[in-house]
Amino acid sequence: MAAGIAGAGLGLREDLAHAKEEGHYMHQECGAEKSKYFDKLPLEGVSATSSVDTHIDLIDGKLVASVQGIAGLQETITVPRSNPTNIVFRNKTDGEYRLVASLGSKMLTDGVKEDVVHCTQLIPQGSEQLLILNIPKPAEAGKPFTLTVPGLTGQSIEVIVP
Amino acid sequence: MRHQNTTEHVTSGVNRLAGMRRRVVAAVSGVAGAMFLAGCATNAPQDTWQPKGPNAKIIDDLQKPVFAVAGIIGVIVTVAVIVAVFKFRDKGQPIPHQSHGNPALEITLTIIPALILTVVGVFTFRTVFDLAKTSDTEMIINVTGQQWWWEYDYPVQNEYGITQPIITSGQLVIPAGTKVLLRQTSRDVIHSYWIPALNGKRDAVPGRVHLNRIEADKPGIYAGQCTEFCGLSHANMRMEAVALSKADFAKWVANQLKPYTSPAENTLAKEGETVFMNQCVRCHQVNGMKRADGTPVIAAPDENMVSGAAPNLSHLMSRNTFAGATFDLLNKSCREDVWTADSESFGDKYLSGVNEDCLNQKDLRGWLRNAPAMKPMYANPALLTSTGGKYRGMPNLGLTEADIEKLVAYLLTLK
Amino acid sequence: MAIIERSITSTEVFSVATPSSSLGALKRPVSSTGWKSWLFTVDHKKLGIMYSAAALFFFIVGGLEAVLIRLQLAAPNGKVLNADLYNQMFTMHATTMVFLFVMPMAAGLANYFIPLQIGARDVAFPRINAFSFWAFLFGGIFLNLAWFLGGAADGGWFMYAPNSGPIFSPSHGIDFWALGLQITGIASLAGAVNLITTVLNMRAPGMSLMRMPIFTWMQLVVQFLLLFAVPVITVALFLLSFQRNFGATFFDVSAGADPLLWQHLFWIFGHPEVYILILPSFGVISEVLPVFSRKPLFGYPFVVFSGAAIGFVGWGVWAHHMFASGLGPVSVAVFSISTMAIAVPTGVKIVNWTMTIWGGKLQFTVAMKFAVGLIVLFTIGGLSGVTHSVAPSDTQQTDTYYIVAHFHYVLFGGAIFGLFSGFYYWWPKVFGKLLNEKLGNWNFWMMVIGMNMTFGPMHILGLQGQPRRMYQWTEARAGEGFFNLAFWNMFASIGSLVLTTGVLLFLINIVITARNGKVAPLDPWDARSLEWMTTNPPKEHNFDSIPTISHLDEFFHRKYEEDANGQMVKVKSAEQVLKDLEDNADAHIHMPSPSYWPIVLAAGLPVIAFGMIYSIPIAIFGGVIVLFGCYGWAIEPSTAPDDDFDPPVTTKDVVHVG
Repeated sequence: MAAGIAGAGLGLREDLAHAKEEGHYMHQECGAEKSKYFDKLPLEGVSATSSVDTHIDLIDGKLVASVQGIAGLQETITVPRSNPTNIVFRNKTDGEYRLVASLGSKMLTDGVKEDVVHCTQLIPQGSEQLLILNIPKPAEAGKPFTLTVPGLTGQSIEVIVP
Repeated sequence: MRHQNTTEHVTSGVNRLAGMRRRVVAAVSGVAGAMFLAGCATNAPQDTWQPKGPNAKIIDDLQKPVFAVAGIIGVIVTVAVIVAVFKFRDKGQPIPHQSHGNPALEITLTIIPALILTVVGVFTFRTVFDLAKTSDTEMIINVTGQQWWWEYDYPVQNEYGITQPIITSGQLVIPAGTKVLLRQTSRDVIHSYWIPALNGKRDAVPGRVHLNRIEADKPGIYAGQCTEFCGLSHANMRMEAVALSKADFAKWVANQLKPYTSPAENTLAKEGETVFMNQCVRCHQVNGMKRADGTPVIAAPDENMVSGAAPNLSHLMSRNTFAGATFDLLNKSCREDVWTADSESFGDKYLSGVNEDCLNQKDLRGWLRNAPAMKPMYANPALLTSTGGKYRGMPNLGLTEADIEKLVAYLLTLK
Repeated sequence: MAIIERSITSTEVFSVATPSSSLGALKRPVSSTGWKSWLFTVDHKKLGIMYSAAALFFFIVGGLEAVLIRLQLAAPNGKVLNADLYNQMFTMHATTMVFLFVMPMAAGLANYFIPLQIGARDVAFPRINAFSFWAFLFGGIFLNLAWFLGGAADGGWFMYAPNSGPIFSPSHGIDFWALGLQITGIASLAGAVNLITTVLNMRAPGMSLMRMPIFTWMQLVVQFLLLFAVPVITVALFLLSFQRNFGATFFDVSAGADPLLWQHLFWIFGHPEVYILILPSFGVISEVLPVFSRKPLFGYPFVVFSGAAIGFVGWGVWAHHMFASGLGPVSVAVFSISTMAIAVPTGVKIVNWTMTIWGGKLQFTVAMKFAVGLIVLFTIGGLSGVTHSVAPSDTQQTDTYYIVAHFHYVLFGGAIFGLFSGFYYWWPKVFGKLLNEKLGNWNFWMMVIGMNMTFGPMHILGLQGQPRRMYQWTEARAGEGFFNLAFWNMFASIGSLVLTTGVLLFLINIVITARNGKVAPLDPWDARSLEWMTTNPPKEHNFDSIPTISHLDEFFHRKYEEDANGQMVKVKSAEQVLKDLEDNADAHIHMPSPSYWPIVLAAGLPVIAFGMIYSIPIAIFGGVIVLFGCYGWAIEPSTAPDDDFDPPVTTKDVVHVG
């Protein structure tokens, strides 16, 4: 106990303190390359099985959605607004890929528009990751919300928010 | 000895009551039995023993025999006890034979219920899987529960004429005789979707999607309520399933997809549109509404509501309830008309929507005047520190009577 | 072990002992009379009485909460309670009745009678016993303080997440609820360990497990259920408290949580919990029915094994509370079958009780009336339970008044009627007086009629679509006809007032009996089991000499023997049997001494809880009290030195010293 209390008094480990300042692990880096911190030791399994709305599978380079309750593979998914929706991305293709959700843009306090982008970590074949979407507004006309895989062109699932 | 006398005194005293008790028990049982048999409501809108769709019928076909068996066993046990009570009461007989049991009897009376339950179990097992089948789904509707109303969105399904997503709330409009699958979820806490005449209930849990089959045999309106405790106004979270014939459903879809028409200039309704754009669009969306400069109006309930959404009011007057189906848009006589219509005339009555003659002015105006007074929602900002100032339900906007007059006129144009 | 016997070395009879003075101001309490003797007692009988008195108080509180609910629901759009207050009321009604009435009342009966029924002088760990009581009392008070500190818990007794989280329930009510239940959970767990050890280790010589009174058997199963179920709710409550007070995200959906986790944890506790509530009452009537039928319990081994079977199978049915929660058809089907399975051992008991009274010589004292009432009413409740086990049917029934009807029949008609039977049966033993039978009859009939009037119509209300947990119902859903839902709601509310009158008559009976009740003879019911082989009330050390057991229903077999014709004839009176014990009194009886530490330790727990809600320094202070209490307790011997209690020289009252 004494050792533990003394340790707590000494503060965070050097590297953790540094990471905290720089925001290494909090920053999502959603490009096609492997990010040094965000993609370090990616989680490769998702224990949620019954609470998943949609599985997005990357099968041999093709992105498809299997939506719970809807038979067959889909290319669009419909998600209610402001609703936390669990999407599981499963990589069934050789190579490391991530799923990126482009959900329009939001207005920051200083009048600047910032793109809303969420993504999973980069995962190898056979792994899966969870992405929780919570989309506050429907898409602007002409600029649909999409799920894409950086590094693979033409693969996109549209996310419709009525 | 003193001990003996006390016991006898105690027991003989109660034996004197035996005769009187026999009469009382008989009388009470007779009255109780008669009341129970006669004692049901007719036309209870949420009666679980009056199935009006195939899923509810499957459940009813299973439950009625089980209730009958349970009833018979209950009568047998009650009669056995009553017979024992009278037959073996202390009439001064000697201490009875000190029987310690009869294993053969015990085992027999254990095996018989076990066998009955095995049969019930087999049928139950089959029915559970029967009801869980989704491979024959014909139509999909997403149902999202939120404190304290239900939202429905219809994903694009061209075979029903749904070329764009439709979003409504309160009354779930479905084509009769069609296997509809509801994909249920919630935005905040656990709710439960229950239309007793059509199927058993299924919880709507945030973060999960649950599948629930709804199918109505005939056109009509079927009542339901949220049946999982969800907070302050759980009692005020209702819904109805409205089944229309296939032709009528196509008409309904076409109406829902009709583009927005702004009211004519210089009318009370136009002024109401202005009030709406100033006050209501913070939370309520009306699809297709545009500002003066042509930009589309996108409501922002995610900024104002804890659970992030508010009912979409497009084509409001094509439904006839509001505020989580707690209040009727139709006044009493028009509502009677719709609810008691037979299956042939129901479609037309429902599709005629709400016009000025049928509007329930009192409840709608009351709602606009002070919604939290009509439905408890914690919309008092003083109690919202834990939610960062966001509302749980519609707040009291402090509208003037003039504003309310204009708004009602405007809302009536949302057909 | 707390109880030691040693042989006398001197002929001193009344030696006045004083406890060790090594602790100075922290001297051990010594009084055997007065309020201090109750505050610091470790005597299982005093604790049993205090448990029962506190439970009765909470019964009245819970009952008032119920009456308010029924008044609100008597008419549509009621105005008695607003929505917020109603939600608090039904949450607290259920919590109070389950955790603060039935469980402690059963604990009170267990505390008083288990040692007497097994021929022991106290329980295995008397100070832990005292701690359990005080922890329960302080936990129960703590829970109810929420009423005065911003509103009681309002999420339902099942407290589903995420509604129970800080965003949807911002007041402190649920914090008081969760922490209060943690404290009472600690009490129950300690009690379970205590009673299991007592029953397994301290039975009189010759009392094998299959010669043990049936009440003790049922309570033993209950203690095992508590032992394994309370830790589950403890975990669930910790997860909830940490989410509410320290920002954890166990049930936060946007962080990836699944709200069904709470449901599983709660019901894995919650289902065994309902068997914890009913088995003690099953035990009581299994004692009462044979006594007033003048024949033994039919099929004692079957009753024992079916009780144990219920204890086992009860762990495999929890998800029948979740049939509509979206588990998927495989889980639903499996739990449906297992729920049907558990109806079988319960049905066995009904057979046994009916066959006990069949062919007997039935004496309808009030205790017997309640016991017979239980058989019928519990059967009705159990059968509606069987209809719930059919999962598709349950998806129509769950969350409606049909379920409310089911559990009130099994809990009121079952658990509570059993407890009342126990009151009337055991009152002379505990207090030396007989409860008034005439008033008792009125009590019984008012309760039976009131209960059926209140909960009978709820079957109809539920099957015709009235959901539960709603602060108001509407005429739009009430149907037409004279006997529509409006009629039955009003009927049920009137019934609740009849029921209240019945309970009131019981309270009046207690007062009248205390003032000028009839003094009870030694063996008023000509009973069968060991607890009746003592004085009324029992002496502090229970038995002058521990009897050697050679039969089930040992007391009965000492009074009666079979003659040549196979008839039972009385060979000894109760007084004679008792005298035999007294004449062979043990030379030296060593009883555990009273102690401060249990109440000190128990008092620290709510302080920690307050700290968790309001301010951490208070919690640390509470922790210090607890540590201090543990330390003091640990270094204190179980009995004060030289605390001897010499056996009586005559059969008159003895002086207890120390």
